Amino acid sequence: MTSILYVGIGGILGAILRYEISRHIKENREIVIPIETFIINVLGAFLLNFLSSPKINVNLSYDVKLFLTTGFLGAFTTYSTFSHETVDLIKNKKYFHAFIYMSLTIIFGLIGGVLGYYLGNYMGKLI
Amino acid sequence: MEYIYIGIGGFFGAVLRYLITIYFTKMYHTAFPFETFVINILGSFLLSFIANFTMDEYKVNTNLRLAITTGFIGAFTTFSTFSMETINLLKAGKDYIALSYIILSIFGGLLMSYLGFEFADKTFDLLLKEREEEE
Repeated sequence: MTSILYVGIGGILGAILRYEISRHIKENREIVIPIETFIINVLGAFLLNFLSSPKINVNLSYDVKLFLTTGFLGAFTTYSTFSHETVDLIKNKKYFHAFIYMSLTIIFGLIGGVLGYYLGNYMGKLI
Repeated sequence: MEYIYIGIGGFFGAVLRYLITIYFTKMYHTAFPFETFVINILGSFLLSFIANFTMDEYKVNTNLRLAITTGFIGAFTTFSTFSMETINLLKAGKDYIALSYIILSIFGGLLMSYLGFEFADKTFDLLLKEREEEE
């Protein structure tokens, strides 16, 4: 039961932070590609892989992990908005932008994740 | 004030994702992360359906819409887990499963989102027609 609360409270904070960040970037954005969702997702992928890397992972309690990973980062990043925005670009005939947005999100989501993992291992050695 | 609505949506979205994931991983042991895949493409459908449906004349309370779309569905679906699972598959040498996970997530998400758009349009037309007939 308490695990549900940890996940839920992480979810509250993750969703609100995503809303705040995306609102601020969207207001000042001049390019077509939804860079706010891109930044949120790549940053979240980096942080999740960092926290899940073995040497960092062993230093976190089960509840803290649920709160930070499944709750906060899970809710901070989003897949549905990524799909929705890509289809929205396609429907507006912005095929090139849709392709770039899709490719960059996947590629940098993976690169960011790998960097997070290695940084976690590196920092874990220093602890 | 919208923070409260987004927060409540985010709470339930994250908890539902957590419950589905633990239930699924207890029941099935597959290398392919089906639970995240299903959560993400289902959420893609729902987001496009609701976002498109509530856009026009069908005015839905803005806070309620934010609670469902940005809060609930946004927190229910997740990109960070998708990235981590793909990397874990690659690290385990399961390259083909990783590649199929990426491809299915991309095209499954796009297809479901597209269907959400279309389904909202169809439903909207139907409701308008019904309303006209009543008048």
